[in-house]
Amino acid sequence: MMSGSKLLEVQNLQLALPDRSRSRLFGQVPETKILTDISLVINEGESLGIVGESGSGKTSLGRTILRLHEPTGGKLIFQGKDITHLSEKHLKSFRKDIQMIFQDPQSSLNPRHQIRVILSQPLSTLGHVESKAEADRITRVVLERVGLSHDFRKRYPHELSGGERQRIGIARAIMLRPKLIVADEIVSGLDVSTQARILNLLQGLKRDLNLALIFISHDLAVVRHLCDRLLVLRNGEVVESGKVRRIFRSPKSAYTKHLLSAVPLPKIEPDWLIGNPSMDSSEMSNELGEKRTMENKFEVSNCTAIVTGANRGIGREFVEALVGQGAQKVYACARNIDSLDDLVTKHSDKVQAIKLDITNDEDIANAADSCTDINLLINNAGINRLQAFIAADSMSGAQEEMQTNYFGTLSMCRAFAPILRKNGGGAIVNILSILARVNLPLMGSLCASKSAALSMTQGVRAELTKQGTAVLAVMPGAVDTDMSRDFPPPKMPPAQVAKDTLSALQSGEEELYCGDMASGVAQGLAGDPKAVEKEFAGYLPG
Amino acid sequence: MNAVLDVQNLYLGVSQKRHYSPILNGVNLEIQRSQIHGLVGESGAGKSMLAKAILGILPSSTTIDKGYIHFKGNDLVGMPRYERRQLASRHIAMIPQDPMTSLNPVRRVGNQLGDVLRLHMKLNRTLAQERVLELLNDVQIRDPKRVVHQYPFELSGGMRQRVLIAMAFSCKPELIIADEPTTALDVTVQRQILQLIKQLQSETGTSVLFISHDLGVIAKICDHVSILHTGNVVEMQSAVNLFQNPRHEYTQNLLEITSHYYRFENTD
Repeated sequence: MMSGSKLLEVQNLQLALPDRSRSRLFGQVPETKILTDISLVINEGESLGIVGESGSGKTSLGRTILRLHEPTGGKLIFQGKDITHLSEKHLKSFRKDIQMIFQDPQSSLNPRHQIRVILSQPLSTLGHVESKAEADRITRVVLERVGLSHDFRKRYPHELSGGERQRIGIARAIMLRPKLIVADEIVSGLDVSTQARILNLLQGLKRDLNLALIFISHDLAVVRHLCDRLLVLRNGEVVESGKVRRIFRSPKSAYTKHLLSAVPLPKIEPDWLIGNPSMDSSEMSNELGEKRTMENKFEVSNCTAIVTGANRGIGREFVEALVGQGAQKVYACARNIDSLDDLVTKHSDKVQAIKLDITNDEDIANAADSCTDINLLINNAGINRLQAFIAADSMSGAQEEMQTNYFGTLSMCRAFAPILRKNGGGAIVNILSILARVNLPLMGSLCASKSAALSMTQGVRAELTKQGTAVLAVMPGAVDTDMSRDFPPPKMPPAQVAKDTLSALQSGEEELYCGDMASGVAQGLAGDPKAVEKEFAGYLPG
Repeated sequence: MNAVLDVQNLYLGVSQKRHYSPILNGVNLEIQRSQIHGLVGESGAGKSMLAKAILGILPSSTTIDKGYIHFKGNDLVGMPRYERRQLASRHIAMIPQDPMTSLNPVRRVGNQLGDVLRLHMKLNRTLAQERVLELLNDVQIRDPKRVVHQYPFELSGGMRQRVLIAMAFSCKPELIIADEPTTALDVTVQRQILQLIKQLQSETGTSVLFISHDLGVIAKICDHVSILHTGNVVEMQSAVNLFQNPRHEYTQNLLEITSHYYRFENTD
C-alpha cells in the first residue's frame, strides 16, 4: 500500500443545489442540501472508495471535488493550494492534475468524433501539445497502455463495445498524466468479466503512474478489492470512514452493517427475502423532488437503547421488554442510581445504570458522552403535580412540570439526535399522555406540558426524518403505576405500554394511542371534541 | 407434462463472414410450473442467447441448428413467425437488465404500460389506464397517479426496474425471463427488487427463468438452478442441493471463487 504525501484535502465541504421541483417560498428557489460537512484526505498513490446507496451524494461529492459543482461551503485544498474559489482560468492548470472517468462512456464520448480526436483534445486544450505528430505519438502510447490497438484511432465511439468504450474513457483521463482520478461507477454498466478486466487495468495504471484514485461505487465487493480506504456516505454525510479491511471486518455504524447485510452471499437463506430491512425506505425518499416523508421503521432486536425514568413504572417495563426482545444493551437512567440496583443485578450483562436527572444539563451531557452507541432513545421520565390553575402554589408546580415534561424531553432529544444520526438513524420515543390531547380539571398545567411536548415531538420528527430517525409519540391513557395511585380504574398495566410501543416502532407508526381509553379519546376527538371533554371530565382522581 | 418450458438438445451458432462459431451445444433445460429457475454462467457462456432463442428475438446472423423449444406443448422452433408471435409474445414476458434503454425515453410511463395492456389484453383506453394504476401500485410505487405522467428519465433506477416488472407481470404470462434484472442496481435496492419479484411470482404462480452471474442472488431467489458453461448445461439441481454439494467441478470452482469474493463478516 503506497501512501505518499497529502495530495487532496477536503474540509467541511457543503453542497446545496436549487431544487426547482419544490415550491418557491418567499420568492426564493428552495435549496436541497446534497452534501453536509464532508472532510477527507487523499494521499499520493492512494485509492479511496466512496460507497453509498443511490441518492447518497457520492456522485455529487466526486463532481464537487473536480469543481464541476460549486461548493456552498468548506474548502478544497490540492497540493497545499486552496482551489475552492479559484476562477476557471486559474483552475486550468489543476484540471490536468485531476481527471474524471464517467459512469456512462456512451454519453461521455462525443459520437461525431473519432477516438483520435477525442483523445488528443485534452492535449491541445490543457497539455500545450500543439504539434499533430506529437499528439499522435502520445495517443498511440496511451491506447497501447489501455490494451487497445492503434486502429482504434480511426473508429467512432458507437463502433466500440462497452468495455472498449470505458477503456477509451480511461485513456482520455490519463492522457495528461494526472495525479488524481475520480472514477464514478465506471464498471457498473459492464458485465462481470469485463468489469474484472477494466478493474485490473485501472489497478495496473494506478501502480505504474502512482495515481491517486477516488473510486465511487455501489458495489461493495469491487471497492473491497480495489481500495485502501473507504468512506461510507448516507444522505450526504459521512457515516463511517477508515481502512477497507477494518470496515469490512467490523463495521461500526449501523448503516454500514445494513449495507453489508444487503449483499447476497452464495448460500441458501430462506428468510433473506422475507426479512424487512429497516432502512429500505431511503431509496424513494432520496430522489430529488420526492416528498421527504419516509416511514422510518425501527428494528428492536439488537438495538442499543437508553431509557429515562427506568427505576419504576413504564420505564422499568421498557427495560424488561427491550431485554426480552433481544436488545444488545440498555442504559437505564434514573435520578437516584441506587433505585436501579435490582434491574442491573437481574440483567447484569445487558443493563447499565446511569444517573440522570433530565432537568440537569450536566447530567445529560455526561450521559451523551457515555452512551455513544445507542440507536434508540426512550424519553419516559415525567412528573405530575395535581393542582388547580388558581391554587395558591400552582406556579412552582407548573414550572416543575414544564421543566421536566417539556424542557427535559427536549434537552434529551437535542443531546442524542447527533448520536442517532451517527449510528444510522435510529429512533426516538417520547412517552407523553393522552392528556396532551384533552384537558382535565385540576390537571391544566400537566396537560399544557404534555401538549407542548407533543408539539415538540412533531417538530423533532419533521427535522429528523431526513437523517433517518423515526420519532414516535406515545399517548397512553391512565396507567397503573405508583404515580397514578389516586386515579380510579380502568388503568392499563405499564407492561402493555412498553409492548405496544415497541411493536409500533417496528411498524413505523408516528403516533400511538395506547390502551382503550386513549384510543377512545383519539377517536372521539376526531368526531365531537366537546363531548369527549365532557365525558372525560367525569374521570377524576379522588 | 408439468413443465412450462422444455428446451431439448438445443444447438445454436453464429455465422459471421462465412465463419461459423457454435454458442450452445445441446442445451437441455426444463422449467416447471411456478418455479423460479436460475440460469448461471459467465458472460459469453450463452445465457442471453438462450433467452433470446426462447423469446424468438435472435439476431439474424444466429441460427438454431438443432433441437426443440417446447412451450405449452408447442415447439417454438419450427413454428411460423406469426403464430409464434401470437403465442410467445402474449405468454412469455421479459425483465431486462438495463431499465433505462428498455423504456422509450420520449413516452410517458403510463402510456407505455397502457400500450401493452391494450395490445395483449384487449383493454380499451379507460380500462387500461385504471389497470396501469393498479399495476404500479402492485410493484409498490408510491403515488402511481404522479408516476404515470412521468418520463423514464425522471425515475430512479429502482423505480424504472419496478415499472418494467409491472410490465412483465401485466399480461399474466406463463413464463417470465428475467435477464440480470438487478445487476445495474445497488445492493439495498437489489434486495427490494428481488423481494418484489419473489412476492409477485408467488402470488401469480408464474414461472421465472432468472438469469444471473451472481450466485449470491441465485441462492436467495431460485428454487432450481442450471449452470451453463461453454454452451452446455453442466449441472441442473435444486438450489438447496446445488449450494450444499455441487456436483460438477466447474460449479465447485465457481462457488469457491464467489464465496472468497464475498468473504467478509456481515452478520454482526
